[in-house]
Amino acid sequence: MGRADDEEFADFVQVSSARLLRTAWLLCGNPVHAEELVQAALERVYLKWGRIRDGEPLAYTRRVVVNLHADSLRRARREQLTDAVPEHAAPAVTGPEEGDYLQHLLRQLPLRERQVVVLRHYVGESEAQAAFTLGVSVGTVKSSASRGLARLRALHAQEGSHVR
Amino acid sequence: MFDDVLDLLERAPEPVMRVDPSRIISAGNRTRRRRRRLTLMVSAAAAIGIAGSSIITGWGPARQDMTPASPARGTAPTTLTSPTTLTSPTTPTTPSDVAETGAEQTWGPVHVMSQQRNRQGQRPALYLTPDRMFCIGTVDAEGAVTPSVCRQIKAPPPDDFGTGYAWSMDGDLPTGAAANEFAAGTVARDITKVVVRTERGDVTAHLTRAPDPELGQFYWVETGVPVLTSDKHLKDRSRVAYRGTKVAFSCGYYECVGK
Repeated sequence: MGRADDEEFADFVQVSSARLLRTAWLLCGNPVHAEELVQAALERVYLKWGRIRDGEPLAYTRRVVVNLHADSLRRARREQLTDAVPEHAAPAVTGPEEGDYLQHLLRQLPLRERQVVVLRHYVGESEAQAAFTLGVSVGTVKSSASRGLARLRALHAQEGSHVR
Repeated sequence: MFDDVLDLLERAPEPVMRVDPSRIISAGNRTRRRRRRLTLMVSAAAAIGIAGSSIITGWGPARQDMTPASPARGTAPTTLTSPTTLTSPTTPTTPSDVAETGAEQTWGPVHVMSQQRNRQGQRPALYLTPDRMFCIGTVDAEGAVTPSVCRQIKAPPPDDFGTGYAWSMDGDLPTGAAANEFAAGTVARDITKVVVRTERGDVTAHLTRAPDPELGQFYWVETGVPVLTSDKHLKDRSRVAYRGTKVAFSCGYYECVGK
């Protein structure tokens, strides 16, 4: 790729990275991991920039982020088989003004529901776009979105009543 | 206080995160250089191997799957069924379809879906893992597989498609090579033909039996069109399964790949 292509790609990163990072953070719950996911996804996009720049590079990058996140979970499941379960302190539940609180709610959703809620209601993808991003049917997106949002609202109401 | 979770999704503060475009570009260029070096090494090793095998009789690539660089096209591979032609779809391409690999990585044969190679010399492949993950990825000349996407496989329903994929070889193809979509998945054992429909016409998929009868059959085909990146051709892409000459069932694009 030439200097002009690199500059164009750098502009794309500047414009899209904030939303991509927040999407990744909402999906995985860890800012460091979110940065790694977005960095890895953008590296892949860079390698194919010549082919995808005229299509929908943001949608493509988002799909790579979602897939890399799912891959990392799969790998983590394989790598963390252990007899002794390590002890963790229960995460502190804080007020809804803090990002930790949102993560506390999202962590309680199954992966598919979390993905669909984030893509539909944060990213703003249509049902068809979310289905394409996740590689699932539109029906799965509809049901996961409805279940996920209902569950999230119920959790929010429950936690809110505790906090107040 | 946020009243609704949708507000929370949009406005809840996030930690400080950033990515650096110049770091991404440097990393990408490093990857490119590494791949180029690897390709050169593989080419050199292949050249030495070919030269050696012509000098020392009986020495050389031993595996069945190590086919010549330009395989004969148009001859049916032995393990594939011969579907009955109904709507004159194009004939499937004919990869040498089974590679032998290390038993720890795969369960049953690895089906090479095309002779197209990426710059590392890997070809697209479809296989099962011992823990019943149904994977699409690549297989190298040594038979080692690298998964790209995997899903837990279940027995396909008698009257519907089972686990399905729309996948393409992910980048790193030689310059000018098309990254075509591969349609793949599972169907019940009594299905005699699977036709994949695209905006450029119909293609008949290869069919082969899964190692466990309960898991039915695998189908796969290189469709000759790129993977969807928008809804433009969504309505043109579907898959149809036949029993004999009758349509058994079909699915739209998302239904096909969402299971």
